[in-house]
Amino acid sequence: MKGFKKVLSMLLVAAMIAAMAIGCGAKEEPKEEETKTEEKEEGGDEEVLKGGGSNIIYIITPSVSNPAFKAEADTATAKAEELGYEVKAVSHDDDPTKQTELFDSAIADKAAAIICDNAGADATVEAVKKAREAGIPTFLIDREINAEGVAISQIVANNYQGAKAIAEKFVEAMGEKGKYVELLGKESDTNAGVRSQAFHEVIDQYPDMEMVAQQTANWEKTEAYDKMEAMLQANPDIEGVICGNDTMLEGVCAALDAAGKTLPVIGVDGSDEAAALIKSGQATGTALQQFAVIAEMAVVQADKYLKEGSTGADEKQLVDCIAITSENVDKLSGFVFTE
Amino acid sequence: MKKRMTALALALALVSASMLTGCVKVIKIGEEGKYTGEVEFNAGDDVAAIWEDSALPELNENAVDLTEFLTQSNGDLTTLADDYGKYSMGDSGELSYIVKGTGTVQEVNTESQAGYMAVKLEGYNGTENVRIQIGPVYKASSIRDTLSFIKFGDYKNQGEWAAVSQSINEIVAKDVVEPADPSSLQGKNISFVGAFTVSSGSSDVLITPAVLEVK
Repeated sequence: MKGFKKVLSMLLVAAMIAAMAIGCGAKEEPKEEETKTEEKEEGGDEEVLKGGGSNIIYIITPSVSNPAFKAEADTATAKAEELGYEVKAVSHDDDPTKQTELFDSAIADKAAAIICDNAGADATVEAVKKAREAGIPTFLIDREINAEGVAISQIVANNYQGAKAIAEKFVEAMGEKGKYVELLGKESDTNAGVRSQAFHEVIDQYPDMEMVAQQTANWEKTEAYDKMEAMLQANPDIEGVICGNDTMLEGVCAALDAAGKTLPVIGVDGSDEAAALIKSGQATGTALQQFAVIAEMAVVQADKYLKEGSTGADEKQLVDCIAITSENVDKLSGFVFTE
Repeated sequence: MKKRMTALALALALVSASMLTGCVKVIKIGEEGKYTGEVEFNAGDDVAAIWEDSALPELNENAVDLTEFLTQSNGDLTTLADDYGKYSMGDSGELSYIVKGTGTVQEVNTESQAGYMAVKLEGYNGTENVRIQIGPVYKASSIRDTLSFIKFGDYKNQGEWAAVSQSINEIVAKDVVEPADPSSLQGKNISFVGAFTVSSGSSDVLITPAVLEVK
């Protein structure tokens, strides 16, 4: 009995060593399979998705408490209804888990197509893939994802260009020098990083511009008000403020107003609230993201794709932002710029 | 019994050892791309590779004479979009042109970080401000946006797309502007090739130079 155990343990040990030796060689195989499936996916680009079978278009956006996303959702809904679709407009509140659930609902509803302003450049890829496997084409709006060949269209607001353009106006308003602070958007949102990076790509080239504080206010107005108040106390000599979006810009302008100050302030989005502050001279400018234009483009492309099997456009399409200042603010209303 | 425990312990140790280390492949920093298939993006290298061979020839070939262009435009820089311009979004968005010309440098402004030379074009008396950027800060992405052979879809995201323009402007600073020594050009006759982007509500022509020579 003792001898048998010994043999058994020896055998086990031998098996383990063998596993160690071969184990790594065997790992190469799944890799080959991976490349094969990748090829298949790439080849599958040609394959036309027919939609899930129903006449429902899902419109998934961030929280519509932000007027920009409300404009986006409303425009997409109106256009889709006009084209004869039933619409389910829902919000993922920038929570990737909730977004996945919403994609699952769309799949369960056999949606014809999904229009989505997504909750994360990496987190969204899987959800869009899953819809694709169910035959449902996804059309991404506003924000892009870090994968191609998964969604049918990615109609991206060029945040980088917009933030750079308005940052140039900010530097001009500051006379190329002075202390300023930055309010960042929600970290999980790719655009928070993109906008901040673009701001700094411009501003950091000016040696006399000095950022004395940088905090997140999560895209929120009241949070921006509180943070601005605190930053003003810590740095009473602040000469300018850059904000990742217009709701934070509203909070900042209110806090500055309460402190009896008017400084150069910029935001991004192009909301009517920001436009009013630009007109009254309390804010310098904003970068209009053409939410309405983008939303409508996506619905039109979805409809065309479902009917003709092609959108006739590249997957990745960039839609420029427009720098809005006191010079052209009169042409802006409801996220639409009329030349 | 003790032996049995030892053997068991040994086996367990081996199992865990093989699980923890046996199948882990150590990859050197910077070589991840070989395994994930994703090549790390470097805008500087990308642009250096296209500048001499593709970008300059295209800019030289497609440049429209700025004096003629402004005369024909007659105050509205968008009029000739179909003939010479390139829109960032196909038929809308930002409009950029490739231009060339000769003229006299009337002012060299280095007070602003976004420095420029004001140029009086030969044979043109219009009111447009013609300025050539001399940095160190370069505005807009005019050269990138006029090139036919690169497009946003070829890059992973807006950040990389912006980095391409930034790298082009760095080459402009180093290879075009610096050798021309702008501070010495006041009153001189120069010739240039470059690109500019029409800015909404203004008739200013702010050129990013690709070629800049004293005549």
